[in-house]
Amino acid sequence: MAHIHLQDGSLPLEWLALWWALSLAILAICLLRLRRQRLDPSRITLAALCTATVFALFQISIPIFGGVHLSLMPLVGILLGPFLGPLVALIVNLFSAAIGHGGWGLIGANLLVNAVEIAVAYAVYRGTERRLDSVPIRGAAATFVALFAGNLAMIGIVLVSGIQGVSQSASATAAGLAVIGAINMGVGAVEAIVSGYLLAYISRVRPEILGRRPDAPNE
Amino acid sequence: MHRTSRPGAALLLAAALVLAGAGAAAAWAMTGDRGIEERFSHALGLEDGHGEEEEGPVEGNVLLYVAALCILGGGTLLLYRRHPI
Repeated sequence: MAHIHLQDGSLPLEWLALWWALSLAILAICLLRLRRQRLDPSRITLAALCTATVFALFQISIPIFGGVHLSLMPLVGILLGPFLGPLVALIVNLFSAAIGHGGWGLIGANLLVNAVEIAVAYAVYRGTERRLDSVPIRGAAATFVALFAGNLAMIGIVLVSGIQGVSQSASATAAGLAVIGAINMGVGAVEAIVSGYLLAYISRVRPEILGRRPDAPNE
Repeated sequence: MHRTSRPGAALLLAAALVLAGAGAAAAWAMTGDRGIEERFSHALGLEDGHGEEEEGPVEGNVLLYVAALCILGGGTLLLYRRHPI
């Protein structure tokens, strides 16, 4: 659930521009790759459903560790892949910013964090296909590793950018972000279990969504 | 190719998740009961802020929301017409 929960004006403008430029470059690559693929209409429908679900989950504060939220971005990466997933993340971040959940200027930075989660989850899930049978365990592991990578990306972006108008040292900021990262990983453990369960269910009722044959044995 | 046994992988994953949960509980105990935005502001030295609860001139502005929605809708329509997928 790595997400930069800051207001506009917190990060310097030049860094915001850089994160936006990088995220736009990623989106351009995604659109170009999607144009080359023959995208099945059912995947677009699935992407729309994922967008609505993720947006809703983003806004629900779960009262543990003082209030947290799930993101399900790794699940989006596993279900939709690394090229369709970032488009879902873009829409979710745009609408989240519109209701005050993260600044407008931070959409680029947050999109980068989400893109890391999506790509890592997809890579780990697909990469362990031949080594590990169990869909829920692979899904949970991919989610957990992806959220860890997303946290590193979030901490890196904030540390590199720096915070405007703050006098505390970089080491104090790094220590503060490490605490946030630790809490995020606790939530990540919950999200990993939820995602693993959801993937197990999907593999039973609609295995073709995960690229499996409908007659494949359930694990 | 060697395939990891299910109990072994499950145990490894369970241990990682339990460790993460314990780490999160310890971090929460250190920082106290704060919301997401509050904890972020505290970690970064933005002590005045209640994070996103204080609306600036941009966040939560209805006109900007409608403008962003129009731009997003128009841009999507243009992109789709030029580059249908």
